[in-house]
Amino acid sequence: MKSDFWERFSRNRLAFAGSILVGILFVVAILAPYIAPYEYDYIDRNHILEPPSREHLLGTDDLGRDVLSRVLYGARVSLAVGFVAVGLSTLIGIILGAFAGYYGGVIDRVIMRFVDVMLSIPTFFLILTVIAFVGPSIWNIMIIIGLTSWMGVARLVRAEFLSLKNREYVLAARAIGASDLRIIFRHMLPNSLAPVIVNAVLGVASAVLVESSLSFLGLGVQPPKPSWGNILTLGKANIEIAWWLSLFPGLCILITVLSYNLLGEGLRDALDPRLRERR
Amino acid sequence: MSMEIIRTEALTKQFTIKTGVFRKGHLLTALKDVNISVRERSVFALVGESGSGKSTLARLILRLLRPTEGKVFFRDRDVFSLKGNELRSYRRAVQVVFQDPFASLNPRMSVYSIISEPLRIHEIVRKKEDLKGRVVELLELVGLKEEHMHRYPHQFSGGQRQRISIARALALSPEVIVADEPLSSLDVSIQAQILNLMNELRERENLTYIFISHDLNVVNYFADRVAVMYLGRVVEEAEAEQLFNNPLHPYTELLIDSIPKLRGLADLKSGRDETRGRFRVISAAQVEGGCLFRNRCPSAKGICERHEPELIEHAGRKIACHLY
Repeated sequence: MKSDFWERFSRNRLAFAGSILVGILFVVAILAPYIAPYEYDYIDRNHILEPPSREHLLGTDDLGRDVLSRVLYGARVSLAVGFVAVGLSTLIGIILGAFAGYYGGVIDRVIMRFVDVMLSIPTFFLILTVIAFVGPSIWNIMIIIGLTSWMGVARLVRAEFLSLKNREYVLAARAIGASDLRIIFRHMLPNSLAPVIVNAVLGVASAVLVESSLSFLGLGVQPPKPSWGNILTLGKANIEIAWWLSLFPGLCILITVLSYNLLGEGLRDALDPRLRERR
Repeated sequence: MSMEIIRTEALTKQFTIKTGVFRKGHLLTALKDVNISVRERSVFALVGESGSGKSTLARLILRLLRPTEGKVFFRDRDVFSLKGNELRSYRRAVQVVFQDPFASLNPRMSVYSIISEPLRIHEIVRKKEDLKGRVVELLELVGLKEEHMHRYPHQFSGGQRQRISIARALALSPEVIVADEPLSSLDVSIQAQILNLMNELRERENLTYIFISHDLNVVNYFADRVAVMYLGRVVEEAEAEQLFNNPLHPYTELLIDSIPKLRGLADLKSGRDETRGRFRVISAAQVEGGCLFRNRCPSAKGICERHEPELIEHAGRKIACHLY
């Protein structure tokens, strides 16, 4: 089964490219303090809004800070937001989805109606409102994105559980006296993880986008801490005279989101070949 | 006469079938007024075609489903009122082997985890080395080897998987094993091996079997007592020998007639097959009132249209038919 997976995955060139790009992003984010040529908040008044040159490969901003260094540090924010937010939403989604699918009845109806309610709220505006109350910080953003994006996972896990509930190995586990929690987490969950993993990888892409949007609006990561979103804000102010300030962080967002999406879709095809035929 | 170990009383199970979002579901009676009594250390067989309620009955006895009405007793204790430790000891006493060995083993657990799980849950063996020893013992009991312990279910053949299922069931040293068509997904040669294994284990572990099958040859060989089920009712219950030598209920007769036998080629060619019309399968929803078998019964009378026959004692056996 495992070798099948690798065979299908490595044959998919786009997915392979996606995973390499994601890998590079990881390395860059972790090594940012070592590979960045300047400190992200080093201000050089003699080199304000300079175009890309040998000293500043991606140019400088309106305070003379090195754009390359700021973009490299920005990768850390994207990575952290992606993983913490998605980790939180996946955890909530798994627990609620598992209980809804396993117990059914009233518990199922209450949880699923709650999902419907959450889905009917425009998430981005909810996040904006909450941030306005609790104040912008990277931790607040991660938690709020997590708390507003678990519904898809809950639906997926519930659907898997409904189909696994009457499998004979689950019945056999009940017959040997396994507790509900043991059946849920040891017997059913490991057999329903494939779509959850795919969903999580795709979720990272959208979390990165939401974080960038928030930072762009000034409700996310606060300057001088760099994030691709808040570098773009500066870029917007100077777009007529300093194209490099907008282009590079924008490209980073584009490439990151694209590569997570490619990776996620590649994983989906490799984990469940049936899905590919349906598309 | 040995002691009774499991008894059901007027056991009825109805399922609600949902047909649409806005329509109210209708009821399907999977099991109606079933009374059976299983003797200790015997093999009690349930036979009948698909949809006759055999598996539903098995799942009720295992307490995997709750009955709509009626009760199940294990040594005169009401199974559905058990809680806590009493329920745990019932789980230990009554185990299950399912039909499909590809579906009844968790694909993500090694054989060791599968067989040791009941021992860990019930804290029968506490030390890790002892646990391993017991798993090896169980594997050998069902004809597998120690080296199989760290493999996963997909690495085994159907017969081997069924042996793993049996080892898992035996781990708790149960008194009763409910075997829900344990042979029907296996090759014929493998069937014989598994049947012999079950037979040996019966002697060695003093087991009682509730054995579900639609293979009457196997039932004839293995069972002590047989209950014939039709659309959720027990229509005839008798000692196996009695039942096979002299089937009374027309449905039992039909089942026994339909056992594939080597017949003369001439018979086949001439199409001499007087049972043909009776092989139609009918669902409970299609028959209203009276005896549910009457549409397929060669001896149906007027009364069969009006009254459903009750299960009565007749010549040392039980039968539900207006002929007796």
